[in-house]
Amino acid sequence: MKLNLQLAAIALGLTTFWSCSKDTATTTITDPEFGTIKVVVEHKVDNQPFVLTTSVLKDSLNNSVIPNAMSFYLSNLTFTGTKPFTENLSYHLIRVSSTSDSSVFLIKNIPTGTYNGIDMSFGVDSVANSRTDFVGDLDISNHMSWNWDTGYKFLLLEGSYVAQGEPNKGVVCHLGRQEAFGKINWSGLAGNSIVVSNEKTTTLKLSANYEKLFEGVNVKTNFMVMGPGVPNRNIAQNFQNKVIKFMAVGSPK
Amino acid sequence: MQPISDIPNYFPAPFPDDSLNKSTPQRVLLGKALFFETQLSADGKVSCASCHNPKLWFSDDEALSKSAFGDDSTIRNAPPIFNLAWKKEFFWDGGVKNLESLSFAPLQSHSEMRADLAKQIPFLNRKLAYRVLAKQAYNSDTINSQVIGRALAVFIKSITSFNSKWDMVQQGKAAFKAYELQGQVIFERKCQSCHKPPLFYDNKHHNIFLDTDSLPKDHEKVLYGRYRITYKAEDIYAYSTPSLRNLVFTAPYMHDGRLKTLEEVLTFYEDGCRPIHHLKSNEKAPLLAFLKTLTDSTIVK
Repeated sequence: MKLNLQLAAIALGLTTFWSCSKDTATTTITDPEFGTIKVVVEHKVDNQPFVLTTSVLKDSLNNSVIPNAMSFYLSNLTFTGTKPFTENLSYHLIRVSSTSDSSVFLIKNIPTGTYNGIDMSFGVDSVANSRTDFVGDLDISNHMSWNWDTGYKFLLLEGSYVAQGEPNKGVVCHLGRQEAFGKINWSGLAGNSIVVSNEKTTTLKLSANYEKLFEGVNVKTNFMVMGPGVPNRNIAQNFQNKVIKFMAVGSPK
Repeated sequence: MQPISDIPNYFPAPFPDDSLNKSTPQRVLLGKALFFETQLSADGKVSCASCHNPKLWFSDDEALSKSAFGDDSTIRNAPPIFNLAWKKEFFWDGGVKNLESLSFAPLQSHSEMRADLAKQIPFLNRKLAYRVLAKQAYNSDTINSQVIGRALAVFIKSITSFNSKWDMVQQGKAAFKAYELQGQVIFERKCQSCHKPPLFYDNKHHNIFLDTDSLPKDHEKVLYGRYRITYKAEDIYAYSTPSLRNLVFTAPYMHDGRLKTLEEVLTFYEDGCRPIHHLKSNEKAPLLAFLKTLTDSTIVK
């Protein structure tokens, strides 16, 4: 069953083909009818910048958690208006860091025009969540999937439970499964509209305010949220309804 | 291991293929190379074939297999690999939903190959042969996790077994001996409801009462069977029905390899298990004779 010789033979036989195929030049042509939206997610807690290892999250009982790893998925972005635009293969992994209080991703090739609403989802839809052989933000090497129970972690939060007079305790919060998947809809954008212009970039600012992430959840007794159930659903609903918000939209530049 | 084109007509048809990952000879070849690649493990010594030995129908003879570096063990018995194209869910608890997602677990698990794909993938891409195979198989200039998962899936799907005496009987090329026929009658009455021919598995999970104690404390629920995946009470201690083909090669048995021989398995079905499946002691020998007719020796030649 050893394949070394077989591999070598194939490799040698195809070297010429390989070389030729690499000679094909590719040229990027910017379509004049399309623009780009730069989405900036600002991470906050109590209106202060939120970063890993120093910022503190509180639950309803004032228990404290200091996260040292935190990532989540926003997906299936649609910009609504008279001619809605839905991003193809729309899966964006947002990573919170210890050095910056914001995350950025680009959405390219958006038809020019004016949009007055945003639909998106927290997590990964059931189609993509049924397999993990994807690349890009869904790549298995991002450590955002379960390999023994096929599916993605919609939110990964790992850190320490900290309380005076008590030893620190590890907190692991891996939200997922379809019960945690949810749609987010901002139809009015508080009177704002998103203008997409030819070959220009419009900045869309969102905020992730984490002070209500653990609302209704006792972190002291739920320091490990990994399967389905009430804490999984509660935290997911908090994220969809109370954490992620539309903030502002800039002019195309 | 025979070509897909030779699959007999009493197998379910058509051959299950993935719309995003159709089987081709080039993909099988790349998957085969990756299956035997020890550099996919953290210590460079463990390949998929280390625990899925072709000579044992892609199983091993350990209850639990050793990890990379030899300092850990798998949490469950390494199952044999054949006729998995027809299987709906994978692992003993059915947690993995398709073959394309299957290989990432053993590749990355601490108790198995312990690969860090961010390190292992660049190694593969430094080898011209792998880059050529990736180009041929997936028109991809590089190996990435998707190529690895999909190529391994196609190779695993290509491992078929339908060359046993039982198959020869179905094809009119052989006949059972009287003792084997006696065993077949017992099999049809007591085993076949779960071990359905021709695959001899039913794509379901069952609690056969191997464990009857109260649930142990286990925050990852590894010892809870399929409950770990579904969180349904009826799935506590339920495990995937294994195929009964090639049993003589695949000892030890059960999800944790606790039963070392086929005789021990049959004794379990005599003494334990659900009452409906109880074997009488005089049924064990003819049943064993029948089970041995499910042996396909093609792979070990």
